[in-house]
Amino acid sequence: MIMEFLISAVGLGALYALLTLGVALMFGVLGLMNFAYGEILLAGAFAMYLFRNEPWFVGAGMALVFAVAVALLSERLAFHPLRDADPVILMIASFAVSLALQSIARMTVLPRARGIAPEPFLSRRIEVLGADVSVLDLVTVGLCGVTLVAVAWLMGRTSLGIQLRAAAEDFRMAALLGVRPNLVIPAAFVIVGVLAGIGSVVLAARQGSVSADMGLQPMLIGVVGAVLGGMSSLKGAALGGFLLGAVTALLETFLPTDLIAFRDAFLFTALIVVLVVRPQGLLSGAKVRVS
Amino acid sequence: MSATQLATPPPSVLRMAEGGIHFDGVRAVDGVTLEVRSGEVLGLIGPNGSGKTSTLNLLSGMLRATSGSIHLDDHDLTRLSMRRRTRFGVVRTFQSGRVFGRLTIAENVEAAALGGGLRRREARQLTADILAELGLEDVAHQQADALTAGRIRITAIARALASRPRFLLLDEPAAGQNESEAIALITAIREFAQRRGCGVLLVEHDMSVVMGTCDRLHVLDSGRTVTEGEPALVRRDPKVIEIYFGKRHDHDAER
Repeated sequence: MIMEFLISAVGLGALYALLTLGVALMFGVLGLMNFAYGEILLAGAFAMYLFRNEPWFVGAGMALVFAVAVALLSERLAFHPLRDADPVILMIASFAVSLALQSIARMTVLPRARGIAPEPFLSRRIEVLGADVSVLDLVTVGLCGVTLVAVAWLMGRTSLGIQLRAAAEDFRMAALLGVRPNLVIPAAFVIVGVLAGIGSVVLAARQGSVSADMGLQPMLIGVVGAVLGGMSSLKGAALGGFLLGAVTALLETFLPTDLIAFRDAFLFTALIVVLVVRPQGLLSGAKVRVS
Repeated sequence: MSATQLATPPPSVLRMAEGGIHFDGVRAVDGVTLEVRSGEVLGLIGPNGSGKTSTLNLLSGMLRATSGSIHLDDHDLTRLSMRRRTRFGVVRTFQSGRVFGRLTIAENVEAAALGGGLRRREARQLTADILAELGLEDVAHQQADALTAGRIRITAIARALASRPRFLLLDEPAAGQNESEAIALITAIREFAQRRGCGVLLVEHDMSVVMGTCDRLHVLDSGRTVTEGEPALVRRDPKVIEIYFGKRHDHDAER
Protein backbone atom coordinates (compact mmCIF):
# COMPACT_ATOMS: atom_id res chain seq x y z
CA MET A 1 0.00 0.00 0.00
CA ILE A 2 2.69 2.45 0.99
CA MET A 3 4.86 1.35 -1.93
CA GLU A 4 2.00 1.76 -4.39
CA PHE A 5 1.23 5.16 -3.02
CA LEU A 6 4.87 6.21 -3.17
CA ILE A 7 5.25 5.17 -6.79
CA SER A 8 2.10 6.92 -7.89
CA ALA A 9 3.02 10.03 -5.85
CA VAL A 10 6.54 10.17 -7.25
CA GLY A 11 5.21 9.52 -10.74
CA LEU A 12 2.65 12.31 -10.59
CA GLY A 13 5.21 14.57 -8.91
CA ALA A 14 7.76 13.94 -11.64
CA LEU A 15 5.16 14.51 -14.36
CA TYR A 16 4.06 17.79 -12.80
CA ALA A 17 7.68 18.85 -12.31
CA LEU A 18 8.21 18.26 -16.02
CA LEU A 19 5.21 20.39 -16.95
CA THR A 20 6.25 23.12 -14.55
CA LEU A 21 9.82 23.26 -15.78
CA GLY A 22 8.62 24.00 -19.30
CA VAL A 23 6.55 26.95 -18.11
CA ALA A 24 9.34 28.33 -15.93
CA LEU A 25 11.94 28.02 -18.67
CA MET A 26 9.82 30.01 -21.12
CA PHE A 27 9.15 32.59 -18.47
CA GLY A 28 12.79 32.85 -17.49
CA VAL A 29 14.43 33.05 -20.89
CA LEU A 30 11.82 35.06 -22.73
CA GLY A 31 9.84 36.70 -19.97
CA LEU A 32 7.07 34.89 -21.78
CA MET A 33 4.06 33.46 -20.03
CA ASN A 34 3.45 30.97 -22.81
CA PHE A 35 -0.17 29.87 -22.96
CA ALA A 36 0.59 27.86 -26.06
CA TYR A 37 2.55 25.43 -23.91
CA GLY A 38 -0.53 23.23 -23.61
CA GLU A 39 -0.84 23.08 -27.39
CA ILE A 40 2.81 22.08 -27.77
CA LEU A 41 1.81 19.19 -25.57
CA LEU A 42 -1.29 18.68 -27.68
CA ALA A 43 0.94 18.34 -30.74
CA GLY A 44 2.67 15.42 -29.04
CA ALA A 45 -0.61 13.79 -28.12
CA PHE A 46 -1.84 14.38 -31.66
CA ALA A 47 1.13 12.37 -32.93
CA MET A 48 0.34 9.63 -30.44
CA TYR A 49 -3.13 9.47 -31.99
CA LEU A 50 -1.91 9.55 -35.61
CA PHE A 51 0.54 6.74 -34.97
CA ARG A 52 -1.79 4.78 -32.69
CA ASN A 53 -1.54 1.69 -34.89
CA GLU A 54 2.25 1.66 -34.85
CA PRO A 55 4.25 0.24 -31.96
CA TRP A 56 3.99 2.37 -28.85
CA PHE A 57 7.56 3.64 -28.93
CA VAL A 58 7.14 4.86 -32.52
CA GLY A 59 4.19 6.96 -31.42
CA ALA A 60 6.17 8.20 -28.44
CA GLY A 61 9.11 9.13 -30.66
CA MET A 62 6.83 10.94 -33.10
CA ALA A 63 5.21 12.76 -30.17
CA LEU A 64 8.62 14.20 -29.31
CA VAL A 65 9.27 15.16 -32.92
CA PHE A 66 5.86 16.83 -33.28
CA ALA A 67 6.13 18.72 -30.00
CA VAL A 68 9.63 20.02 -30.75
CA ALA A 69 8.62 20.96 -34.29
CA VAL A 70 5.55 22.89 -33.12
CA ALA A 71 7.59 24.58 -30.38
CA LEU A 72 10.21 25.72 -32.88
CA LEU A 73 7.61 26.77 -35.45
CA SER A 74 5.71 28.85 -32.92
CA GLU A 75 8.98 30.54 -31.96
CA ARG A 76 9.86 31.25 -35.56
CA LEU A 77 6.45 32.41 -36.74
CA ALA A 78 4.96 34.09 -33.69
CA PHE A 79 7.52 34.93 -31.02
CA HIS A 80 10.60 35.72 -33.07
CA PRO A 81 8.99 38.72 -34.82
CA LEU A 82 7.88 40.00 -31.40
CA ARG A 83 11.19 39.49 -29.65
CA ASP A 84 11.54 43.06 -28.44
CA ALA A 85 7.87 43.48 -27.67
CA ASP A 86 6.33 44.05 -24.29
CA PRO A 87 5.75 40.87 -22.21
CA VAL A 88 2.02 41.52 -22.25
CA ILE A 89 2.00 41.52 -26.04
CA LEU A 90 3.98 38.28 -26.02
CA MET A 91 1.46 36.77 -23.65
CA ILE A 92 -1.44 37.77 -25.89
CA ALA A 93 0.43 36.38 -28.87
CA SER A 94 0.79 33.12 -27.00
CA PHE A 95 -2.99 33.04 -26.53
CA ALA A 96 -3.35 33.46 -30.26
CA VAL A 97 -0.90 30.65 -30.95
CA SER A 98 -2.72 28.50 -28.43
CA LEU A 99 -6.12 29.08 -30.03
CA ALA A 100 -4.79 28.67 -33.56
CA LEU A 101 -3.18 25.33 -32.76
CA GLN A 102 -6.28 24.11 -30.93
CA SER A 103 -8.43 25.07 -33.90
CA ILE A 104 -6.13 23.27 -36.30
CA ALA A 105 -6.43 20.14 -34.18
CA ARG A 106 -10.25 20.50 -34.05
CA MET A 107 -10.58 21.07 -37.79
CA THR A 108 -8.45 18.09 -38.74
CA VAL A 109 -8.87 14.97 -36.66
CA LEU A 110 -9.94 15.96 -33.17
CA PRO A 111 -13.38 17.62 -33.31
CA ARG A 112 -14.08 15.57 -30.19
CA ALA A 113 -12.02 13.41 -27.91
CA ARG A 114 -10.61 10.26 -29.47
CA GLY A 115 -9.64 7.16 -27.59
CA ILE A 116 -6.23 5.62 -27.92
CA ALA A 117 -6.33 1.90 -27.31
CA PRO A 118 -4.31 1.27 -24.18
CA GLU A 119 -0.95 -0.30 -24.87
CA PRO A 120 -1.26 -3.81 -23.39
CA PHE A 121 2.22 -3.73 -21.97
CA LEU A 122 1.49 -0.48 -20.10
CA SER A 123 -1.69 -1.71 -18.46
CA ARG A 124 -0.03 -4.78 -17.06
CA ARG A 125 0.63 -4.88 -13.35
CA ILE A 126 3.76 -6.28 -11.82
CA GLU A 127 5.03 -6.89 -8.35
CA VAL A 128 7.70 -4.58 -7.01
CA LEU A 129 8.98 -5.18 -3.48
CA GLY A 130 5.77 -6.94 -2.58
CA ALA A 131 3.53 -4.21 -3.98
CA ASP A 132 1.25 -4.53 -6.95
CA VAL A 133 2.21 -1.70 -9.31
CA SER A 134 1.05 -0.82 -12.80
CA VAL A 135 3.72 -0.67 -15.48
CA LEU A 136 2.30 2.69 -16.51
CA ASP A 137 3.21 4.16 -13.13
CA LEU A 138 6.72 2.79 -13.43
CA VAL A 139 7.07 4.13 -16.96
CA THR A 140 5.83 7.53 -15.76
CA VAL A 141 8.44 7.62 -13.02
CA GLY A 142 11.14 6.40 -15.37
CA LEU A 143 10.42 8.69 -18.33
CA CYS A 144 9.83 11.82 -16.28
CA GLY A 145 12.73 11.05 -13.95
CA VAL A 146 15.20 10.50 -16.79
CA THR A 147 14.00 13.66 -18.55
CA LEU A 148 14.36 15.75 -15.40
CA VAL A 149 17.86 14.41 -14.76
CA ALA A 150 18.80 15.07 -18.37
CA VAL A 151 17.51 18.64 -18.21
CA ALA A 152 19.26 19.20 -14.88
CA TRP A 153 22.50 17.96 -16.41
CA LEU A 154 22.02 20.11 -19.49
CA MET A 155 21.31 23.23 -17.47
CA GLY A 156 23.96 22.63 -14.84
CA ARG A 157 26.89 21.13 -16.65
CA THR A 158 26.94 22.22 -20.26
CA SER A 159 27.99 25.46 -21.88
CA LEU A 160 24.52 25.85 -23.35
CA GLY A 161 23.05 25.44 -19.87
CA ILE A 162 25.22 28.15 -18.35
CA GLN A 163 24.25 30.54 -21.11
CA LEU A 164 20.58 29.60 -20.79
CA ARG A 165 20.57 30.23 -17.07
CA ALA A 166 22.40 33.52 -17.52
CA ALA A 167 19.85 34.56 -20.13
CA ALA A 168 16.99 33.41 -17.94
CA GLU A 169 18.17 35.75 -15.22
CA ASP A 170 19.15 38.91 -17.10
CA PHE A 171 18.56 38.55 -20.80
CA ARG A 172 19.95 41.95 -21.78
CA MET A 173 23.10 41.55 -19.75
CA ALA A 174 23.66 38.09 -21.20
CA ALA A 175 23.20 39.45 -24.71
CA LEU A 176 25.66 42.22 -23.92
CA LEU A 177 28.20 39.58 -22.92
CA GLY A 178 27.79 37.95 -26.30
CA VAL A 179 25.33 35.20 -25.40
CA ARG A 180 23.43 34.89 -28.68
CA PRO A 181 19.65 35.25 -28.52
CA ASN A 182 19.46 33.15 -31.69
CA LEU A 183 21.11 30.32 -29.80
CA VAL A 184 19.43 30.43 -26.41
CA ILE A 185 15.85 31.21 -27.47
CA PRO A 186 15.44 28.36 -29.96
CA ALA A 187 17.32 26.09 -27.54
CA ALA A 188 14.82 26.97 -24.83
CA PHE A 189 11.96 26.17 -27.20
CA VAL A 190 13.52 22.82 -28.10
CA ILE A 191 13.85 21.90 -24.43
CA VAL A 192 10.27 22.98 -23.84
CA GLY A 193 9.23 20.88 -26.82
CA VAL A 194 10.96 17.83 -25.37
CA LEU A 195 9.41 18.39 -21.94
CA ALA A 196 5.94 18.81 -23.43
CA GLY A 197 6.47 15.84 -25.74
CA ILE A 198 7.38 13.52 -22.88
CA GLY A 199 4.48 14.97 -20.90
CA SER A 200 2.10 14.22 -23.78
CA VAL A 201 3.26 10.61 -24.05
CA VAL A 202 2.63 10.05 -20.36
CA LEU A 203 -0.67 11.95 -20.32
CA ALA A 204 -2.05 10.21 -23.40
CA ALA A 205 -1.26 6.85 -21.85
CA ARG A 206 -2.78 7.77 -18.50
CA GLN A 207 -5.95 9.29 -19.94
CA GLY A 208 -6.36 6.77 -22.74
CA SER A 209 -7.62 9.51 -25.02
CA VAL A 210 -6.61 12.72 -26.72
CA SER A 211 -8.68 15.84 -27.37
CA ALA A 212 -8.12 19.33 -28.70
CA ASP A 213 -8.44 20.91 -25.28
CA MET A 214 -6.27 18.43 -23.42
CA GLY A 215 -3.44 20.95 -23.16
CA LEU A 216 -5.29 23.31 -20.88
CA GLN A 217 -5.01 21.36 -17.65
CA PRO A 218 -1.29 20.53 -17.92
CA MET A 219 -0.59 24.16 -18.80
CA LEU A 220 -2.45 25.32 -15.68
CA ILE A 221 -0.62 22.74 -13.60
CA GLY A 222 2.64 24.07 -14.99
CA VAL A 223 1.74 27.67 -14.16
CA VAL A 224 0.54 26.81 -10.65
CA GLY A 225 3.60 24.68 -9.95
CA ALA A 226 5.90 27.41 -11.23
CA VAL A 227 4.20 30.07 -9.12
CA LEU A 228 4.39 27.77 -6.11
CA GLY A 229 8.09 27.10 -6.54
CA GLY A 230 9.08 30.58 -7.63
CA MET A 231 8.81 31.73 -11.21
CA SER A 232 12.36 32.94 -11.55
CA SER A 233 14.09 29.80 -10.30
CA LEU A 234 14.14 26.66 -12.41
CA LYS A 235 15.01 24.47 -9.45
CA GLY A 236 12.22 26.04 -7.44
CA ALA A 237 9.76 25.54 -10.27
CA ALA A 238 10.62 21.85 -10.59
CA LEU A 239 10.26 21.47 -6.84
CA GLY A 240 6.92 23.30 -6.89
CA GLY A 241 5.65 21.03 -9.63
CA PHE A 242 6.83 17.94 -7.81
CA LEU A 243 5.13 18.98 -4.57
CA LEU A 244 1.94 19.79 -6.40
CA GLY A 245 1.88 16.34 -7.98
CA ALA A 246 2.83 14.51 -4.82
CA VAL A 247 0.19 16.32 -2.77
CA THR A 248 -2.43 15.61 -5.44
CA ALA A 249 -1.59 11.90 -5.23
CA LEU A 250 -1.65 12.09 -1.45
CA LEU A 251 -5.12 13.64 -1.45
CA GLU A 252 -6.38 11.08 -3.96
CA THR A 253 -5.20 8.25 -1.76
CA PHE A 254 -6.09 9.45 1.69
CA LEU A 255 -9.15 11.67 1.30
CA PRO A 256 -12.38 9.95 2.32
CA THR A 257 -14.31 8.85 -0.79
CA ASP A 258 -17.03 11.50 -0.27
CA LEU A 259 -14.44 14.25 -0.36
CA ILE A 260 -12.38 13.14 -3.36
CA ALA A 261 -14.57 15.21 -5.63
CA PHE A 262 -13.29 18.27 -3.77
CA ARG A 263 -9.63 17.30 -4.17
CA ASP A 264 -8.76 20.45 -6.10
CA ALA A 265 -10.44 22.62 -3.50
CA PHE A 266 -8.14 21.18 -0.83
CA LEU A 267 -5.15 21.46 -3.14
CA PHE A 268 -5.68 25.09 -4.04
CA THR A 269 -6.52 26.07 -0.49
CA ALA A 270 -3.12 24.69 0.48
CA LEU A 271 -1.58 26.61 -2.40
CA ILE A 272 -3.18 29.86 -1.26
CA VAL A 273 -1.83 29.31 2.24
CA VAL A 274 1.69 28.73 0.90
CA LEU A 275 1.52 31.85 -1.25
CA VAL A 276 0.25 33.98 1.62
CA VAL A 277 3.28 32.91 3.65
CA ARG A 278 5.77 33.05 0.79
CA PRO A 279 4.37 35.19 -2.01
CA GLN A 280 7.62 34.97 -3.98
CA GLY A 281 7.37 31.18 -4.15
CA LEU A 282 9.31 28.52 -2.30
CA LEU A 283 12.78 28.97 -3.76
CA SER A 284 12.59 32.29 -5.56
CA GLY A 285 14.76 35.27 -4.88
CA ALA A 286 13.17 38.61 -4.11
CA LYS A 287 12.51 39.87 -7.60
CA VAL A 288 10.03 38.32 -9.94
CA ARG A 289 9.51 40.02 -13.25
CA VAL A 290 5.81 40.12 -13.82
CA SER A 291 4.64 43.06 -15.80
CA MET B 1 38.28 38.85 -34.97
CA SER B 2 38.79 35.13 -34.78
CA ALA B 3 36.60 33.46 -32.23
CA THR B 4 39.27 31.49 -30.44
CA GLN B 5 41.96 34.12 -30.47
CA LEU B 6 43.64 34.40 -27.10
CA ALA B 7 46.88 36.00 -28.24
CA THR B 8 47.60 39.70 -27.97
CA PRO B 9 45.65 41.63 -30.59
CA PRO B 10 47.43 44.32 -32.62
CA PRO B 11 47.68 47.63 -30.77
CA SER B 12 44.76 49.95 -31.25
CA VAL B 13 43.30 53.19 -29.99
CA LEU B 14 39.88 54.08 -28.65
CA ARG B 15 39.43 57.77 -29.25
CA MET B 16 36.78 60.31 -28.45
CA ALA B 17 37.16 63.55 -30.38
CA GLU B 18 35.43 66.68 -29.12
CA GLY B 19 32.76 64.45 -27.61
CA GLY B 20 29.85 66.15 -25.93
CA ILE B 21 26.39 65.59 -24.54
CA HIS B 22 23.89 67.88 -22.93
CA PHE B 23 20.90 67.12 -20.77
CA ASP B 24 18.19 69.80 -20.76
CA GLY B 25 20.68 72.43 -21.78
CA VAL B 26 23.31 71.43 -19.23
CA ARG B 27 26.50 70.38 -20.92
CA ALA B 28 27.51 67.30 -18.95
CA VAL B 29 30.41 66.64 -21.28
CA ASP B 30 31.63 69.55 -23.35
CA GLY B 31 34.09 68.86 -26.12
CA VAL B 32 36.32 66.30 -24.46
CA THR B 33 39.05 64.66 -26.49
CA LEU B 34 40.73 61.60 -25.07
CA GLU B 35 42.45 58.43 -26.15
CA VAL B 36 42.94 55.05 -24.57
CA ARG B 37 45.64 52.87 -26.11
CA SER B 38 45.82 49.12 -25.85
CA GLY B 39 47.85 47.94 -22.89
CA GLU B 40 47.58 51.13 -20.86
CA VAL B 41 45.40 52.19 -17.96
CA LEU B 42 43.96 55.68 -18.30
CA GLY B 43 42.52 57.13 -15.12
CA LEU B 44 39.59 59.47 -15.66
CA ILE B 45 39.34 61.63 -12.59
CA GLY B 46 37.62 64.75 -11.41
CA PRO B 47 35.31 66.00 -8.69
CA ASN B 48 31.69 64.89 -8.40
CA GLY B 49 29.61 66.07 -11.33
CA SER B 50 32.64 66.69 -13.53
CA GLY B 51 31.33 64.39 -16.27
CA LYS B 52 33.44 61.28 -15.65
CA THR B 53 30.62 58.77 -15.73
CA SER B 54 28.91 60.56 -18.62
CA THR B 55 32.16 60.32 -20.58
CA LEU B 56 32.31 56.61 -19.85
CA ASN B 57 28.68 56.30 -20.93
CA LEU B 58 29.47 58.07 -24.20
CA LEU B 59 32.38 55.72 -24.89
CA SER B 60 30.40 52.59 -24.03
CA GLY B 61 27.34 53.58 -26.02
CA MET B 62 25.04 53.85 -23.04
CA LEU B 63 24.58 57.48 -24.10
CA ARG B 64 24.83 58.82 -27.65
CA ALA B 65 27.08 61.81 -28.14
CA THR B 66 25.28 64.96 -29.25
CA SER B 67 28.54 66.27 -30.68
CA GLY B 68 31.93 64.90 -31.60
CA SER B 69 32.86 61.38 -32.58
CA ILE B 70 34.12 58.11 -31.14
CA HIS B 71 36.44 55.85 -33.09
CA LEU B 72 38.08 52.52 -32.49
CA ASP B 73 41.03 52.76 -34.86
CA ASP B 74 39.28 53.35 -38.20
CA HIS B 75 35.85 52.20 -37.11
CA ASP B 76 33.34 54.91 -36.36
CA LEU B 77 31.45 53.85 -33.23
CA THR B 78 29.66 57.15 -32.67
CA ARG B 79 26.20 55.92 -33.69
CA LEU B 80 26.54 52.29 -32.62
CA SER B 81 24.56 50.74 -29.77
CA MET B 82 26.23 49.45 -26.65
CA ARG B 83 25.79 45.90 -27.87
CA ARG B 84 27.42 46.59 -31.22
CA ARG B 85 30.32 48.33 -29.49
CA THR B 86 30.71 45.32 -27.22
CA ARG B 87 31.20 43.25 -30.35
CA PHE B 88 34.03 45.57 -31.32
CA GLY B 89 35.59 44.72 -27.97
CA VAL B 90 34.59 47.86 -26.06
CA VAL B 91 33.22 46.42 -22.81
CA ARG B 92 32.03 48.20 -19.71
CA THR B 93 31.05 47.29 -16.20
CA PHE B 94 28.11 48.69 -14.31
CA GLN B 95 28.30 50.21 -10.86
CA SER B 96 25.61 47.84 -9.60
CA GLY B 97 27.51 44.89 -11.07
CA ARG B 98 24.51 43.20 -12.70
CA VAL B 99 25.96 39.77 -12.02
CA PHE B 100 23.78 36.69 -12.50
CA GLY B 101 22.80 36.09 -8.89
CA ARG B 102 21.70 32.52 -9.28
CA LEU B 103 24.88 31.43 -11.04
CA THR B 104 28.11 30.75 -9.21
CA ILE B 105 30.99 33.18 -9.54
CA ALA B 106 32.80 30.78 -11.85
CA GLU B 107 29.68 30.37 -13.99
CA ASN B 108 29.24 34.13 -14.22
CA VAL B 109 32.74 34.45 -15.62
CA GLU B 110 32.40 31.39 -17.81
CA ALA B 111 29.14 32.65 -19.31
CA ALA B 112 31.00 35.70 -20.60
CA ALA B 113 33.87 33.61 -21.91
CA LEU B 114 31.40 31.37 -23.75
CA GLY B 115 29.47 34.38 -24.98
CA GLY B 116 32.74 35.69 -26.39
CA GLY B 117 32.95 32.58 -28.54
CA LEU B 118 35.37 30.39 -26.61
CA ARG B 119 34.94 26.64 -26.48
CA ARG B 120 34.12 25.03 -23.19
CA ARG B 121 37.65 23.98 -22.30
CA GLU B 122 39.20 27.33 -23.23
CA ALA B 123 36.45 29.12 -21.38
CA ARG B 124 37.14 27.10 -18.23
CA GLN B 125 40.85 27.79 -18.46
CA LEU B 126 40.34 31.51 -18.92
CA THR B 127 37.85 31.53 -16.05
CA ALA B 128 40.32 29.79 -13.75
CA ASP B 129 43.06 32.27 -14.71
CA ILE B 130 40.89 35.32 -14.11
CA LEU B 131 39.51 34.06 -10.81
CA ALA B 132 43.04 33.37 -9.60
CA GLU B 133 44.32 36.78 -10.63
CA LEU B 134 41.46 38.65 -9.01
CA GLY B 135 41.57 36.55 -5.85
CA LEU B 136 38.14 34.99 -6.30
CA GLU B 137 39.18 31.33 -6.22
CA ASP B 138 37.93 30.68 -2.71
CA VAL B 139 34.40 31.80 -3.65
CA ALA B 140 34.40 30.41 -7.19
CA HIS B 141 31.62 27.94 -6.51
CA GLN B 142 29.44 30.14 -4.36
CA GLN B 143 26.25 31.57 -5.72
CA ALA B 144 26.74 35.23 -6.59
CA ASP B 145 23.64 36.25 -4.60
CA ALA B 146 25.38 35.21 -1.41
CA LEU B 147 28.36 37.56 -1.75
CA THR B 148 29.17 41.00 -0.41
CA ALA B 149 28.76 44.06 -2.60
CA GLY B 150 32.53 44.36 -3.01
CA ARG B 151 32.90 40.80 -4.20
CA ILE B 152 29.98 41.23 -6.57
CA ARG B 153 31.70 44.22 -8.12
CA ILE B 154 34.92 42.25 -8.57
CA THR B 155 32.91 39.43 -10.11
CA ALA B 156 31.48 41.91 -12.60
CA ILE B 157 35.02 42.95 -13.52
CA ALA B 158 36.12 39.33 -13.81
CA ARG B 159 33.17 38.71 -16.08
CA ALA B 160 34.04 41.72 -18.23
CA LEU B 161 37.64 40.49 -18.52
CA ALA B 162 36.37 37.06 -19.59
CA SER B 163 34.76 38.55 -22.67
CA ARG B 164 38.34 39.39 -23.70
CA PRO B 165 37.78 43.09 -24.30
CA ARG B 166 40.11 45.22 -26.38
CA PHE B 167 39.03 48.14 -24.25
CA LEU B 168 37.61 47.86 -20.80
CA LEU B 169 35.66 50.74 -19.28
CA LEU B 170 35.37 50.55 -15.51
CA ASP B 171 33.08 52.78 -13.50
CA GLU B 172 34.62 53.15 -10.04
CA PRO B 173 35.59 49.48 -9.80
CA ALA B 174 37.00 49.88 -6.32
CA ALA B 175 34.11 51.79 -4.79
CA GLY B 176 33.34 50.63 -1.29
CA GLN B 177 36.77 49.13 -0.73
CA ASN B 178 39.55 50.53 1.38
CA GLU B 179 42.58 52.10 -0.26
CA SER B 180 44.90 49.08 -0.16
CA GLU B 181 42.18 46.73 -1.46
CA ALA B 182 41.41 49.21 -4.20
CA ILE B 183 45.05 49.47 -5.23
CA ALA B 184 45.44 45.69 -5.20
CA LEU B 185 42.35 45.26 -7.37
CA ILE B 186 43.34 47.88 -9.90
CA THR B 187 46.88 46.51 -10.03
CA ALA B 188 45.49 43.07 -10.81
CA ILE B 189 43.28 44.51 -13.54
CA ARG B 190 46.24 46.40 -14.92
CA GLU B 191 48.47 43.33 -15.05
CA PHE B 192 45.75 41.32 -16.69
CA ALA B 193 45.13 44.06 -19.24
CA GLN B 194 48.81 44.55 -20.03
CA ARG B 195 49.36 40.88 -20.61
CA ARG B 196 46.49 40.76 -23.05
CA GLY B 197 47.08 44.12 -24.65
CA CYS B 198 43.77 45.48 -23.46
CA GLY B 199 43.28 49.19 -22.84
CA VAL B 200 41.55 50.25 -19.65
CA LEU B 201 39.65 53.43 -18.87
CA LEU B 202 39.11 53.79 -15.18
CA VAL B 203 36.70 56.25 -13.63
CA GLU B 204 37.77 56.99 -10.09
CA HIS B 205 37.33 59.84 -7.70
CA ASP B 206 40.05 58.90 -5.24
CA MET B 207 43.31 60.51 -6.35
CA SER B 208 45.48 58.31 -4.12
CA VAL B 209 44.14 55.14 -5.76
CA VAL B 210 44.91 56.22 -9.32
CA MET B 211 48.37 57.69 -8.63
CA GLY B 212 50.30 54.43 -8.51
CA THR B 213 48.09 52.34 -10.74
CA CYS B 214 47.38 54.39 -13.86
CA ASP B 215 49.76 55.07 -16.74
CA ARG B 216 48.11 58.36 -17.54
CA LEU B 217 45.47 60.55 -16.00
CA HIS B 218 42.81 62.63 -17.67
CA VAL B 219 41.29 65.27 -15.42
CA LEU B 220 37.78 66.62 -15.97
CA ASP B 221 35.98 69.51 -14.37
CA SER B 222 32.51 70.75 -15.32
CA GLY B 223 32.53 68.51 -18.37
CA ARG B 224 35.77 69.90 -19.78
CA THR B 225 39.31 68.61 -19.91
CA VAL B 226 41.56 70.29 -17.36
CA THR B 227 44.75 68.48 -18.17
CA GLU B 228 46.14 65.13 -19.14
CA GLY B 229 49.42 63.30 -18.70
CA GLU B 230 51.54 61.23 -16.40
CA PRO B 231 50.19 60.98 -12.87
CA ALA B 232 53.19 62.66 -11.26
CA LEU B 233 52.94 65.65 -13.59
CA VAL B 234 49.19 65.90 -13.35
CA ARG B 235 49.30 65.96 -9.60
CA ARG B 236 51.63 68.96 -9.64
CA ASP B 237 49.50 70.88 -12.11
CA PRO B 238 48.22 73.99 -10.31
CA LYS B 239 44.84 73.79 -12.05
CA VAL B 240 44.40 70.24 -10.83
CA ILE B 241 45.42 71.15 -7.33
CA GLU B 242 42.94 73.96 -7.36
CA ILE B 243 39.92 71.99 -8.56
CA TYR B 244 40.79 68.72 -6.96
CA PHE B 245 42.15 69.64 -3.59
CA GLY B 246 40.31 72.88 -3.21
CA LYS B 247 41.66 76.39 -3.38
CA ARG B 248 43.56 76.09 -0.14
CA HIS B 249 46.13 73.58 -1.24
CA ASP B 250 46.94 71.34 1.67
CA HIS B 251 50.44 69.92 1.41
CA ASP B 252 49.44 66.85 3.37
CA ALA B 253 47.30 65.72 0.50
CA GLU B 254 50.35 65.48 -1.66
CA ARG B 255 52.25 63.21 0.64
